[in-house]
Order: sequence, then structure tokens, then C-alpha cells
Amino acid sequence: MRFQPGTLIYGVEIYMKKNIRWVAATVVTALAVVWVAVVAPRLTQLPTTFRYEVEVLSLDNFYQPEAGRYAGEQRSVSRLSWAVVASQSGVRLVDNRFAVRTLLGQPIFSVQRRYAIDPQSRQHVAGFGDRDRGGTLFAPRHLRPGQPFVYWHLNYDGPAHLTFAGEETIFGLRVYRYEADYGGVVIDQTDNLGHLPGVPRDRGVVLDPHLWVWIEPVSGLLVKYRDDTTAYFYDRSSGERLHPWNHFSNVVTRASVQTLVQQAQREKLKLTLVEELVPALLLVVAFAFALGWPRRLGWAVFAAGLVALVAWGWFRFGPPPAPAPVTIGIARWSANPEYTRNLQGFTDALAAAGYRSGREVHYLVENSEGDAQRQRDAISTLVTRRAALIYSLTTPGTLIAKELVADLPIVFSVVLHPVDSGVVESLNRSGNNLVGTRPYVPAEQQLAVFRELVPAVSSIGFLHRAGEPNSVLQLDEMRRAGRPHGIEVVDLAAVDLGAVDELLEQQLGEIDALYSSCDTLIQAGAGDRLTAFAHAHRLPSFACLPSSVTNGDLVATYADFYEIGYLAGEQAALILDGATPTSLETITVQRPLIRLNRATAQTLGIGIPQGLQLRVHSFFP
Amino acid sequence: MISLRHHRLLFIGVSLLVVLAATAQLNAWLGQRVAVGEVLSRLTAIADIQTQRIKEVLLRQADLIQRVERQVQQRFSRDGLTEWSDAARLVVADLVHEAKTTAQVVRAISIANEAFTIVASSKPEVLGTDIRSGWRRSHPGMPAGGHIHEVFLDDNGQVTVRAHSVLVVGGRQLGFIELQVSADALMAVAADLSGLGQTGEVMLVEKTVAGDALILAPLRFHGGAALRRAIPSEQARDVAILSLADRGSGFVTTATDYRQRSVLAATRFIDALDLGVVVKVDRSEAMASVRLLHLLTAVTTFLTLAVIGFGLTPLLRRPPQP
Repeated sequence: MRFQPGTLIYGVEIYMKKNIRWVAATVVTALAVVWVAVVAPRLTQLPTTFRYEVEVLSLDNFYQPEAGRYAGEQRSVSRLSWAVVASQSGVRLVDNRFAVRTLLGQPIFSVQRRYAIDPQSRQHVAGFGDRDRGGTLFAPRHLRPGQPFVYWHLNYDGPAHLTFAGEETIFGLRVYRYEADYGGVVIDQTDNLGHLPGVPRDRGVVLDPHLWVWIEPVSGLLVKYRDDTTAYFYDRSSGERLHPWNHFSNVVTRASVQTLVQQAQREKLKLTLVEELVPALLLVVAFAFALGWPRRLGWAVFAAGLVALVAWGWFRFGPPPAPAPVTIGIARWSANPEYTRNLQGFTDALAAAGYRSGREVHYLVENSEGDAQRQRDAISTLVTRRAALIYSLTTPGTLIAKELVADLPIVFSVVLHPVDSGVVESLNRSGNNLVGTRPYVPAEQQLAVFRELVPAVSSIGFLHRAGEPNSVLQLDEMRRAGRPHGIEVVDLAAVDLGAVDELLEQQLGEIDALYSSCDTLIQAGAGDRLTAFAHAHRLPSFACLPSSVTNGDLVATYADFYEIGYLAGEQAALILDGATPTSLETITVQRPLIRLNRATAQTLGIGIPQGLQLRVHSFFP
Repeated sequence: MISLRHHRLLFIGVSLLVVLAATAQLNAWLGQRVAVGEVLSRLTAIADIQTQRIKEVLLRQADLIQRVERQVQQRFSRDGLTEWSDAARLVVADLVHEAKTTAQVVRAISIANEAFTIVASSKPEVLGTDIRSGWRRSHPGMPAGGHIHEVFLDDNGQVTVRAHSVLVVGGRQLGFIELQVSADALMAVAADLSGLGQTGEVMLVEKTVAGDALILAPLRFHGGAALRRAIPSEQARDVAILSLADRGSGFVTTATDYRQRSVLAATRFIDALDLGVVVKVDRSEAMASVRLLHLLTAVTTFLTLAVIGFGLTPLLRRPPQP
């Protein structure tokens, strides 16, 4: 179709043909403006389906006013969530919930708040929520380094004036760390703690919180938080503080942080594409048109623009500098192969929790070869080389670590009687900077399994090193376990390896079974001599170490060293995540293993009951 | 202009390509469905076997407590005892000792009077205390005939089963019997990873008063979890929470586990202990073979398309014959 010369539309057609590049540039620029002003805000506003869930590791430590001290920390089940529940006059109504329960489901604390949030700026809006608040839902978008902001954390429901504390990398995402101590802001939880005695009639509860948050700066999303707070009772009439109620801390679990990081990465990508890359690309195209695209100069401008955008994308999404790995110092005490298995379990558990060797953690291993002075040197070396946590094996080794290190967490393993030996105050709460695992299987259980095989046993020779506190405790326990069955436990206390054979020969005829205790003499070779003696005289023998069964003992009911190492690794991971040693329990395996030597059973003419066969973890050979 | 022959060739070629591409997609989709079905069948079979094993363990433990109950009843009848006299206490103490020494899996036996006060026990330190004091779960009453009450951690941190029965003598309720039995057999079920690959496991969970899923046995990737970890009920897509919500047999294909990993799972519920049994495997492991199949299909399709395209080109280029 051709327009007639002289008409307006003909004039426009001629003008457009002559200035096509300027027309195209103007149209694309207008598109960019429309995108920025209309499309982008719609695409990036807080969606009505917004939901943010956080799993929290909560530690509560309740104060005992009668005793004048804290009862000790305990772990709780916690969940924190934000969800848009409605929209009203263009404002998003967000429910923020926090529930803390005991493991068995009894409530400790729960609260729900309703925020009114502007979907675009994510600022709190007055007049719609359950109260008027200032600040943002998490943090403002496109946060600059050092920029302070106000955040309302639901647990405290007061303005936290967060100050910039540094830049970090979490799971490959660059984040800003902020902190606040609520200076000058009274945080009163009286209304949320009506189930406590005297609250709210006579007493109220006021908090001294300290809050840390980690924010992804482009999206303003929270990827982690931690708090450490003391709550006090106060007299409602005078306002005077009475005594603490609870010292608690919360930290987002590592698995949850990982999920939040992925969520923040997606949001960052979306914001960058919608708010920056698309308009920038449109402007590059407009500029290229203006300079004569598809002529050479236009192509050059377009290519240069693309390169700049790719560079910008790389700068924003390229891998940040890897965070320095956490150093874990390992004091293994000796080269015992079982200890090597224990260390394997320890590092495997840490790797499963996200602390991979050479990446998130770096291990420094020291072997003192059973020498106390060398152990002291080893511990000092680990402290000097800035270990964040020390993993110590054996009772003597751990006692030295405890003596030398008071300000670092120490996780121990292969400590059979940690309370009696003074490593911890109690198994439930260490009361210090130590926690760990022990290869403990009650003597009663060991004896019960042995009696399934040898029900007529009436006296057991108990071989151990004379004066070794660990094995003396085992001897006492075995005696208590044998008493109800009329079994006499004969003390075979050898001063050294040389005395073992003579001691066994002396008792021949007095005993009808033998037991290898878990002590250093047995591990130094006495166990082999006991086994040889038992074989020579056709005596059934049982042990607390599986290796003894491999050497010829009849049966062992034992705690697997790999497993207790794994459990210790889980404790170490929790401590690195923010738990304190005293909040964790010193534990042993929840299911001891049974190893049985079929050849020995056959030699001794012992039948294996079917019930036991089903429970045996491993047969040898 | 291309000839009619060329038109036909082009049409056949393009049709062939479309059919091939569609078949490849369909094949991949079917492969995924078949793989999910196969994994779920395997998980279901394992769940059935393990549930049966758990029921047998519970039955054996209920039998054990019934045996103790019968022994007490027989001795009371034989000696003409009807009250908690000193003689009755001695008889019971003797029986407790005997039962404890004969049944190796029994950790402790206690007998309480009607007021729940322990009158005889293999653990002397609990004599005179309320038998309910150590209970984790409340119970409105105790049925006769023996039942399993709960799984708990004993003083040594070992997972233990608590079983109860009402002690009826001469038609009259005289008190209660409590057995604490090794949970080894129960734990062995959870520790059995046969047929579960590198990531599969059997989880035993119990619903708490808040609806959380309390872990009852050590987990494959959290050894110390038993009775020390609970999954919050708010994690509605967690496979343990789903198993307790259903309270029945089922399977899930869109759930996560305690490690936030996507899993395929079969679930069962045992009413006697309010126990959820979850047999699960990571979706990534279950689908590993399908991913390989997808890759092979994609490569094969691409190569076939390339060969067809290569074959068609000279035909299309050849000038039409007069």
C-alpha cells in the first residue's frame, strides 16, 4: 500500500523511513521505561504465595531460684515461619509464627504476630497489622555495605537497630552480617508467657537480647539468624528485676541455612534479571539502534553492551572468595587402629553435616603415642594453630586437654567413665566446655549375652591392669551384674604384661570363664595372652572389644568405635553450628553390637541360641 | 519449486523426526514412571516385612510380661495370698529375681500395688516410688494381658521398651507389673538396610502431643537421634510427619526427609505403639538409572535424527527427473 504524496500519513512514512534508527531507539527506550515503571515492580513485589520457613536449634537454660543457678541447657524443637495470609488495600498481611517445644511436645514458648507489609518496598505499614511497626520485613533490597536498617524480630517485637558487622560467604553466597543489642528498647514478653507462675498478675518477664542476622544484600532476604538472650522476672508493681527465668539461644540449623541460601540465590537472580539485566539490555539495543544498527558501529555497541552485561553478571554471581575452613584439632593419643576407625566416623559425620575436609574444615592431627608430656605439647600446638574445636581420644588424653583448654569446645571419645574420671560433671550436662561419647556397654548386658551362650557359668576371671581406675570401675560393675546370678567375679589384677600368664595359671581351677576388660593392659597384649590361655584350657572367654573375638574370644558385646566417633562428629557439627558443649549429652551407642566367634563356639561345644543368632551383628570367621 | 516426490520425501522425513522425538519423550516419561513404581514396590515390600518383624517383637515382649503375670498369679494362688502382706512381698521379690535372671533381654522388672507404689523390683532404688514416675507418655489405664507402653532411654542412654500388665489374682486387681526390656530386636529392624542402597533407611517415629514426629531409633545419617530428635509438625511435607498423619499404609513420592532431601517412601503404622514406620530412599538414588536412560535416549535420538537428516539431504538436492 502506498500513501498519496502530500498527505500527513505520507509525510510520517517518509520521516520514518529517513529516521528509522531513531524511531526504533525511541520505541525500545520507551519499552525499557515501561518495563522499569510498570512490569518490573509487578514481577518483583512480595507475592501472595510468599512463605519462608526456618528450622531453629533452640537451647533453653532455665534458672533455678532455689539453687541460685541455671539447670543446664536443653535442646528444643523450634520452628519459625513467615507466610502471606491475605492482601488488604494493596498491603500484604504476613503471619510470623515461632513455636518452641520440648522434644516430647510440651510447650515452652509460642508467639504469632501479624505484620502489614508494603509489597514493593517490604516496609512495615501502619494501621493494618496487630500493631504499628517500623523498618522492613527482613532488610531493604539492594543493601549497601555498612548501611544500617531497622528489623522487627518476632521474638522481641521491638525495633532492632542493626549495625553492619562484616561480609561473609555462606554456602557460596555473599552475605552481610548485622547485629543489634536492643540498647534503650525494653523487650517485654509478659503477654506471651502467661503460663509461668505469677505472670502476668504479680510478675512480668523482660529480656536482654543480642541478635545477629545474615542478609543477602540484593534481595534483602534473611539467610540465617542467631540470638543469645537472658530473660528476667520483674516485679510488676516496682519494676525491679527479681531473678533470671531462662537463658536461651536460637540459631538456624545448617540444613535450613542451606535451603534459605538457595531461596535467596533464586530471588537475587530474579531481581537482577528483572530490575537490571532486562532494562539494561533494552537500553543497549536502543543505543545500538541510535548508532546505526545493523551497521557496523551499531553491532559494535551491541556487542560491547553484551560483554558489559556478562561482566556485570559474573561480578554479581561469580563464585565469591571461599571462606577460610574451620580448623579442628585432633589429639588421638595413640596409633591404635580402632582409634583410626573412630576418627573416620568423626570426619564422616562432620562431612554428612556439611563440614567437608579441606573445604569447610581443616584437620590438624597430633599423636602423642600415649605420652602425657607429648599430649600436653600436642594440645598446646593445636591451640597455637587456632583450632576452633579440639577432638580428644581416651581418658588420660582428654583429662590433659581439659586441664589446658578452658575457652575452646572439646569433644571427646573413647572415655569410658567420663563422670567418675572427672571429665564432665554429669552425662546430661557437662557443666564445662567438654562433651563427647563413650564406648560404654553396661556389664549387665555383656554378661547377659555371655550367659545366653554359657548359662552355667559360676565364676569369671576379670583380667585388668592393677590400679587402673577405668578397669576398677568395670570390675565393680561386673561384680554387681554377676551377684544376682550367683556368679563370682575374680579380680585378676596384673601389674604388667609379664605378670599375666602367672596370674592366669594361679587361678586355673578356680574360674570357669574369662573376661577381657576395656583397659590399656588388654590393648597392650594381655588380651591375646588371655585368649591363648582360654583356648589352651578350653575356657569360654568374653570381651568388651570386638578385636578380641577376631583373636579367638567367644563373644563381645561392644560399642563400635566408628559409631561412637560418628556420634562425636555429630556433636562437633552441632557445636560448630552454635550449640554449646554443656547443652549436649555425653552419650554412648544406643544399640550395642554383638560379635561371635563361631569356631570358638564349635571348639567349646557351645550351641548358639536362635534368639541370639538373630541379634548377632557379625560372626567370625 | 520442488517436485511432488520431494514433497512426499520431506513429509515422510519430518513425520519420522516428529514421531522419533515424541517416542523418545514418551519413553523417558514412561521410564521414570516405571522406575518410581519399581522403587515403591521394593519399599512397600520392605515396609511390610519390617512391620511384621516389629509386630513379632512386640508380641514376644507382650508374651514375656504375660508369663511373669501368670507366674505371680500361680504363686499367689498356691500360697493363698490375696493382699500385699510381707509374705506376698517376699514371694513377688523372689519371682522378680527369678524372672530377671531367666529372661536375658529383661533389664528390670517392677511390681506395684493398686496405689501404683512399687513393692518389688529388680532395681532396689525404685522400691516405694510411684511406678508412673518415669513414664514418658501418660496412660489412662492399663489393660490386662500385657501391652507395650513406650520406648524410652534408660539411665545408660540405651533404647529400652517398657511393657505393662495388670496383676489380677483371684479375680481381683492387685496391682501392676512393669517390664523394661532390651530394644535390641526393635533397633535391629531400623538398622537393617538390606535392599535400601546407599541412602535408604527404616525410620521408627512416634507422634508427640504437639504432633511432632519423635525419632525412636538411630537414623542412618544421625546416629544419636533416637529419643533426642523430633521433626516439627510444621514441616508438613516431611515424610515422618506424613506417616503419622496417615496412620495407615501408603506411599509418598513428593516428600522430604530430616536432611531436607527429596525422597520416595512407603509408610506403615502400628497401632499398638502409635508407631510410624517409614521406609525411604533418596529420590536422586532411586532415579539414577532413569537419568542414565534419559541420557542414552537423548543421544540415540540425536544420532538417529542426524543420520536421517544426512540421508534425506541428497534426495532433496537431486534435480527432479523429467
